[in-house]
Amino acid sequence: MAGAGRVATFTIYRQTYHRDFPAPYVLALIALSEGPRMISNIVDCPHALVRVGMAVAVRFVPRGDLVLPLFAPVAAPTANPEPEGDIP
Amino acid sequence: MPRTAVIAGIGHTSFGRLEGRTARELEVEAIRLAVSDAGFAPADIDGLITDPGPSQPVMSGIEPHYLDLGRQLGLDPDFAGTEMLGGASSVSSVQRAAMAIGAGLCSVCLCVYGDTALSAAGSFSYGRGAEAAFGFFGAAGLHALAAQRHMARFGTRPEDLAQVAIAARAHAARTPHAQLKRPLDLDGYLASRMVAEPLRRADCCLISDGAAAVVVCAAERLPDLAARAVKILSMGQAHSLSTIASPEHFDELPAARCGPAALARAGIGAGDVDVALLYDCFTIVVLMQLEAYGFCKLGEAAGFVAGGRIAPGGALALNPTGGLMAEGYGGGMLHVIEAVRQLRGTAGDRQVEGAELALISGHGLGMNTHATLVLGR
Repeated sequence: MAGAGRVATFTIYRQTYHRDFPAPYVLALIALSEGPRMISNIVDCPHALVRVGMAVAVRFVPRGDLVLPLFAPVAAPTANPEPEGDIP
Repeated sequence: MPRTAVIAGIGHTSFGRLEGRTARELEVEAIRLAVSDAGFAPADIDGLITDPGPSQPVMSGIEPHYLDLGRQLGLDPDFAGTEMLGGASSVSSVQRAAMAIGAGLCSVCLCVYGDTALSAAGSFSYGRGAEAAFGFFGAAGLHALAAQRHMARFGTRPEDLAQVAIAARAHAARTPHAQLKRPLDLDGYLASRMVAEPLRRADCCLISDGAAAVVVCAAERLPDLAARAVKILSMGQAHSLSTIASPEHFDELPAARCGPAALARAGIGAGDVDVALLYDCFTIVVLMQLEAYGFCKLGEAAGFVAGGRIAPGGALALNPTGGLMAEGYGGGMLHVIEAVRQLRGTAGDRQVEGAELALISGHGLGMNTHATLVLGR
């Protein structure tokens, strides 16, 4: 696993469900380049610029007792990105 | 030759915030109404299938829900059980009753949904398995992922989701017992607060206290079927036990397998349905089911619902009571009850002229489970 993938779908939580997860935050389904899919968060990206199809790369971030694989955009996100091919 | 099952009686409590009522009281009230509507006496009941709703436990210790309810009713049924298919449970309870009757295990079976999810439950903020570590909570977040993907694949817009919510409110205005009758227009929809983008509060169904019951019986038990009994023409169930990690998880509901198959077994297609009662926990699920059942092609639901097609007076009578979005959260049993009313011709202001075929769906356990009923006059 190279830790590279694309956003298959996502949601921006705007309601806080748990005190450890204050809204807003981005929950995404990541399609890893090797095939498997996983739920994670998109970080280091303005929420309004997250897109289905966006190329992302893993970064490991400590959260409480865990170290979680979160994902950030590979390229600086823009409001009107070039299409990146089929939806993963 | 299996015996034919019919729905002979319907009954429900009021729906909304029913402070101080227990789920058990509400269930008993709905059952009494349904048994009386069918013209049976309590002693005639020999089957009991229950849907304990989103907040009652399926099991209390070692006792399943039906056992305590049946005991309070004074029943020693020949057939009993509690459904565990989430939002598909009410529809599947009727299926289970019909199968038990067909196989001769019982003859007059109660199917009951009941819950006090609004006044008794703390919240629906449950974590979604290990993925709660990423903040994956609740049903809205899951369906928001489905909605966002539908938008990316097909260009579906918030204005298209809005058609479902707006139509539901307009329908509810003609439903005397509806929980939410306040009208909704597009501006109101767009102003509704975001829960999990792209889903707003107005995309989410209600949470309710209430109970609803039907009596399913062998056709031969009713000497005069003409007036009140509605035939179960066909049934279907499909489960997609893939996890969220599966590529098709958000792209094909199990409804796409059992829905068209159930319609075909009834000898009809989606275009023949006079009234559709589709499980509407979130607006996006209605759009996805319209595609899955073949009312329109995959990706074309937004165009299908445009122009008021599912609003009162539109070409497709869809959830004429306002459904889970506005009538009240009744599992799916209120959908079954409205189908029976429509086929009996007793739906009042909501009556679809000459309705002969009704489709009912139940969608549950995330995107994993679906159940279908086709009823006929």
